[in-house]
Amino acid sequence: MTKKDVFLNGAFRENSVWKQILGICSTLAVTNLMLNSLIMGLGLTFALALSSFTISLIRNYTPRSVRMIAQTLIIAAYVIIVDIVLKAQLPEISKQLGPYVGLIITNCILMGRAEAFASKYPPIDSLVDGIGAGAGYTLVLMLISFFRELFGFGTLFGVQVLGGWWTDWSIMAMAPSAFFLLALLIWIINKKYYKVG
Amino acid sequence: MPESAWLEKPAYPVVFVILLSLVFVGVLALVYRLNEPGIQKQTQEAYERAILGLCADSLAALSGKTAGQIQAEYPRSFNEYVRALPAGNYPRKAFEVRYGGRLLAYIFDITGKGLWGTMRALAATDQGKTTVLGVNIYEQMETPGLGARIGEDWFTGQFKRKAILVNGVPVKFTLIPEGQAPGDPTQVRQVTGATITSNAVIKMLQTELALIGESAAEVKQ
Repeated sequence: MTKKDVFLNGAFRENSVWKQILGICSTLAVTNLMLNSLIMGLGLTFALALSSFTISLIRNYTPRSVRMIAQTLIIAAYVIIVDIVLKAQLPEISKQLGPYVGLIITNCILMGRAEAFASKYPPIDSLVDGIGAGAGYTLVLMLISFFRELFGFGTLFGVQVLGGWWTDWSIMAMAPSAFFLLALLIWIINKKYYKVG
Repeated sequence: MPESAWLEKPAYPVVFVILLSLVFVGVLALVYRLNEPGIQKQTQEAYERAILGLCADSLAALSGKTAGQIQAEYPRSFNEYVRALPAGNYPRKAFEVRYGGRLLAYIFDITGKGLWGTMRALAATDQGKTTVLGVNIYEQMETPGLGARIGEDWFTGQFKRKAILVNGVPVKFTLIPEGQAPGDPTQVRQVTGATITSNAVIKMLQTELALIGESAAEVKQ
């Protein structure tokens, strides 16, 4: 498999959210604003890519009996780095994202990629897989947050797009709207690309 | 895994995890040290902005500016109107807010026990230190989505202009459901599903302001 295939596989064909239904909690929680979604997506991509790279790098020396402890430790370290940098550089966004940055540690996408890919393939492939899977996750977040922010607040990235005539749909600001949009997205993609049903 | 006698030993997994932990603890310590000045600066700025937010309405009423303008003029407005009181004057960290020499409010940094840990808040009071002018809970460890909602404006806003102590005696408050309109000033709308935390905020205000009031009385004597 070429690096391009690895990337495309992680980002689209085997997308963690719409194909594997992983990382749903944060997908529902942080997608009310596009900026929050972008930062969350970048944070996860950073943690995922580097943890996959590190796990792959030491995979031949990792005893099987403690591999999951080691993976969690490595993932947690990179997530804490993201959290520290956000607190120092983007405190407002760090506050808005609240506990969800820390919860990247428990995001199934990271453990899923560590077990399914990084523990079996070379470091550079694992890095590319992590970037691909992170990009796929970010893409879903951006798609959902686009509709939620636009209809819920009349803005995109905080910039007013819809005029004064627009009445905000308050349901779009709440988590249930992400449920509907995510279900719709999964249905459309499965119907169109995976020939389901 | 490469073949080696050492890698087959039962102690190897333990040594591996210890070494891995040491490496990543070191990395995290380094990253934190590098970012520490930035975090401290942001924390201090958020703290000062919270103080300014508590007295912005009072300042706006006298200065002819809006509360938003006063907050937007941070840090100039903070340095102009807010002064930290010397440590030892009160049992808690204290600030006074003045406009043109006129004392508008005291602000105290208070603490209390929440359900899961310590809560820290800024409480603005009148000159008698018995009526709350505003509350900002800036640090708490309550349950996200439940108790953590004590930080929301609708909850803290209820304490605005509320007498907490009358003649040094704490006012007895009763909690009412979140969606119900209070019938009298002693009723406080609680956070649904977080009765203990809602009560903890009231207890914190009463205990801390009573303590501050006692120390102020001792100073006068």
